[in-house]
Amino acid sequence: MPYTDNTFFLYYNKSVLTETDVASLDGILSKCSAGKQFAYPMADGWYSSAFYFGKGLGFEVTYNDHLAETSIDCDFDNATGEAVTQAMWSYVKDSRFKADANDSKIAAGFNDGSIVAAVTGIWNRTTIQNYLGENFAAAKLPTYTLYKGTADEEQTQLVSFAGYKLMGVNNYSKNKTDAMDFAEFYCSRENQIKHFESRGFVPTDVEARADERVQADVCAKAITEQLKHSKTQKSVPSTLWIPLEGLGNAMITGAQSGSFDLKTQLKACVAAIEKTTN
Amino acid sequence: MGKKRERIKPNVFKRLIFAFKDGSYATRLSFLVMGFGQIARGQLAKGFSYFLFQVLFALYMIFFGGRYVGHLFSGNLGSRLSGERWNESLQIFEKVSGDNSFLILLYGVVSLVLFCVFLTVWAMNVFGSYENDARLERGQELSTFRADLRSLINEKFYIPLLLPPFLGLLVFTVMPLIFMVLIAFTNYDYAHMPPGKLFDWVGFKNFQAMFSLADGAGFALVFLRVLVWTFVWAFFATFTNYFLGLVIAMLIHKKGIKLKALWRTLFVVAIAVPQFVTLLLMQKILDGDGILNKILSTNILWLADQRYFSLLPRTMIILVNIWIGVPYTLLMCSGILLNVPTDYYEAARIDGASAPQIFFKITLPYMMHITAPYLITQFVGNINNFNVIWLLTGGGPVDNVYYGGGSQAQSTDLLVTWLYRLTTDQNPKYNVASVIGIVIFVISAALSLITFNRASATKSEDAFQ
Amino acid sequence: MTGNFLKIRKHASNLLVYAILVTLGILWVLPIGYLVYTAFRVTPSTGIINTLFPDDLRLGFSNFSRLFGDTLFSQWLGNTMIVAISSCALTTAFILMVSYALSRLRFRLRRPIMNVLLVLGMFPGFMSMIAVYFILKAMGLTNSLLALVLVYSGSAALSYYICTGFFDTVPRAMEEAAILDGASQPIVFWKIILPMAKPIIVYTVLTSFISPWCDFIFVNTIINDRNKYTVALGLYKMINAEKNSFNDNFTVFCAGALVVGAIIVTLFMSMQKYYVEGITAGAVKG
Repeated sequence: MPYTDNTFFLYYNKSVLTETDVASLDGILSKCSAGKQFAYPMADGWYSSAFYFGKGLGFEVTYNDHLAETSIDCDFDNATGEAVTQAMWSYVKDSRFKADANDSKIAAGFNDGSIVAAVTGIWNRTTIQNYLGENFAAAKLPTYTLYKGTADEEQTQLVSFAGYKLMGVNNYSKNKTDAMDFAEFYCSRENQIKHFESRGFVPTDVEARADERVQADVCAKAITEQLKHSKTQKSVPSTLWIPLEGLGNAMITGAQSGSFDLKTQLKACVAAIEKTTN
Repeated sequence: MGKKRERIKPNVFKRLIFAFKDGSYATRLSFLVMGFGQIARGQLAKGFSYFLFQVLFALYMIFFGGRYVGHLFSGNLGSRLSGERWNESLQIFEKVSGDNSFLILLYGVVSLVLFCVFLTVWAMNVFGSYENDARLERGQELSTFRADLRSLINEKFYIPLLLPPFLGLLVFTVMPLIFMVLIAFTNYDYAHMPPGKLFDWVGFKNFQAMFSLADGAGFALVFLRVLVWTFVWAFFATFTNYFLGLVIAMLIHKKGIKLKALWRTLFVVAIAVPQFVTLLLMQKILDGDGILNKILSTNILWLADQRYFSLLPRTMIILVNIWIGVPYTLLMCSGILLNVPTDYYEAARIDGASAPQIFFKITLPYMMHITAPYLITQFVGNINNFNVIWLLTGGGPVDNVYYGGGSQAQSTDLLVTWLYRLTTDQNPKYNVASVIGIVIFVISAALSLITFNRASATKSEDAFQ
Repeated sequence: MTGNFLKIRKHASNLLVYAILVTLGILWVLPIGYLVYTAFRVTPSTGIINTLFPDDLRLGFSNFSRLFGDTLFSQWLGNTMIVAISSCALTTAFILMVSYALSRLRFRLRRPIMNVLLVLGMFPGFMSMIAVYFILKAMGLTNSLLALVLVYSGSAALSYYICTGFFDTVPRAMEEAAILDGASQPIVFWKIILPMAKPIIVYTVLTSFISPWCDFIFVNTIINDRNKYTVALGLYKMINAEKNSFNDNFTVFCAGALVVGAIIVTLFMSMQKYYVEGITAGAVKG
């Protein structure tokens, strides 16, 4: 039974960035510098896939009766995909864009001021809020520029993965009925609101979300907005994460020397994603 | 039996046949009914123990083991899938358990092992009875139970000495190993996980996948790359540590250097803290945002730069390993250097040899001769040196271009870290892991047996005793 | 004149050696120094540990009080002690029994057993990990310290070769004299050979005591309950597990590392001479 959403969105420092700035990646970067960066975990497939989903690219998995993956089709490497990857690469190269980010670096960055905006999930909310204090602000993910500098230049919205935190009951548990009752209790509407008040987890229950306490919250607003541009985390190939990590890492190391063999890396990445072992 | 011992011992089967042909009717009957030979001669305690053992084992096989062994040989590992059934009274779906392939395999192996144990005891029973025949023929008395016990403490002291450790070995090493080796021939992975799903025998398919290219479906290239790096790493790790340790030991022990203990302690401090702690520390220091980069004002990705076959991470791993390993080789070389017979040096000095000459012609060969077995064990050990690689890079930056193909291998992986990842990943592939384990075994065994045989040819244990 | 020249050359080369030793010595101690330094740094309110000498540097013992107060470290310490002592006793007993039997007693299966043990030892330990986990589950022992002790000492017999090498060097004369005097085999083992084997026993005790302190892989598989972690796994999870753990816990981690290091160092110092004798004996005669 679901009790909270698991998606990611943008946190930013209100004193540096305005609401109009955070609508687009370029806007954010315009207010950034090498010492005040924008953090985005490019080496984590959960985040980096947002660029591809933004353009409607995705994957298709077929399962057999034993629920094993028999074939995976991923179109990240078609012409559009190459353009998307080109856009990702141009951002990673930017010294204002911190691509090798993870949760602890983002928290540390907000703390000492080296990061003014970052993309991460709700679980970091309390820490970041502590560090930013009054300057704490959140919004949905920005748009990024595709086909930059050409006639087809366009803004594409980053589309995040959206999952849910579930409470499930083990089929083999000894007191199954009791466990199921507990799950229902934990995920009930009142408890979702209580959860929100103590830890800031935004409820999934629609009516709980309509509660005014939730409505007033900045993060809840951001999440609700972002969910309109999200892709349900369902039927994800098990092979998705590691190859994307490899692709992101290649970009990050490439940024040091300024060279990145886009075609080879992208092809290798998608080949790895499409590899089933059945 | 006395006469037979002087000749070359015939093997067990021949002796069994001989016992049957040559033995009395009591011996022959004990082929079927364990303990008969002993009971017929009045060795009641021993005979009844054998008989009891036979009965217990038969019961075990009938009620429990036999089923699993049957499954093992029947060609599949279970055929009933589990499912769900709506339970009206409880208003929930209830799980109907099907066959559990894992348990079938496990209990099957356990039963097989127990069967081997049974066979051994059975053979002991037959030989015991035959021995009684021989004694009676010679007019000797049969040994009493008490005499048997006493012999366990004296001539056969090795039996009580070896039994407890070997029991532990059997349960915690041999059985799991047999089990895992068998897994290499199944398709047990995340898509076939009991108790929800079944897995089955697939013969040599996993080996084919590992060692062939099969138009891109095989991992042979990835496997080769991991293998090459494993050897390169083991070579560098062993020899850089050794030579540096030796050189530093010689520097410290040079005549005229004071405070020898101080220098040694400085180096040993590095190993005071447990290895995994220091490795974790190094991982954080060498991080892209770590303290080293902050001090040098660079942002080199020491452990994550996958260019040129991850050259930078590989070099850093070897360097960190030097930091960790030199204190040990330093201590060892110090110990040995102190014991070098000084007459060699004196003779060399009288002959007017210079310092480098002394080093290359006397010290080095002497050290290498003494520490050759150590070097070999270190090399084989480094092939499996899990901690250093795992804690520093976790197997290293992901490299889709050279290590892709669904193998789940990464660019600084050793065979053993690849194995570990395959068993602990979110989507584990135990069968591939077992194949890798077998490969590691074959390599280590080959290396060790070759070198140990050569080494033992030049010395013999009894010479010391 | 040559006398002076030689003396200068000797001093110069000594100076060079000193210079090398000093540089290398500093290099070697540096990371440990960093560890000690971080262990005594009070985590600043900003939580950042990455600058070496920040403006708000404060040193103190709060990491240690956090270590023993907030985390389960003292529990882990206790667990590891129990496991280390028990597995050390069991492992040493097993190793001594096996190596004595294989070295001093002569029986028919001796050579084959030695070879089989050698061969068994060449399989990587992790291969059997999940199978061991399930065997333990069947025995109902998962998540228990007893399981750890059993697993650590189960494969003790495989490390017989160093001790065997040592036993091989003990002359038979003593044994023969004792047997002539009427001593039985157990008495020979217990009263005559064992006391002579003190250095190798100490070496075995040391190594088997230290290993549970350093292993986090097997513990990770077998134990899930945080209260039952050993020190190794606890420290590992402190900075490697949860999402934000590095920042909050790094100083506490360093403090914990220092504590464990101190324990091991005291052990080593008191047994140092036996340890060196042990490795050289094993290496030379192994």
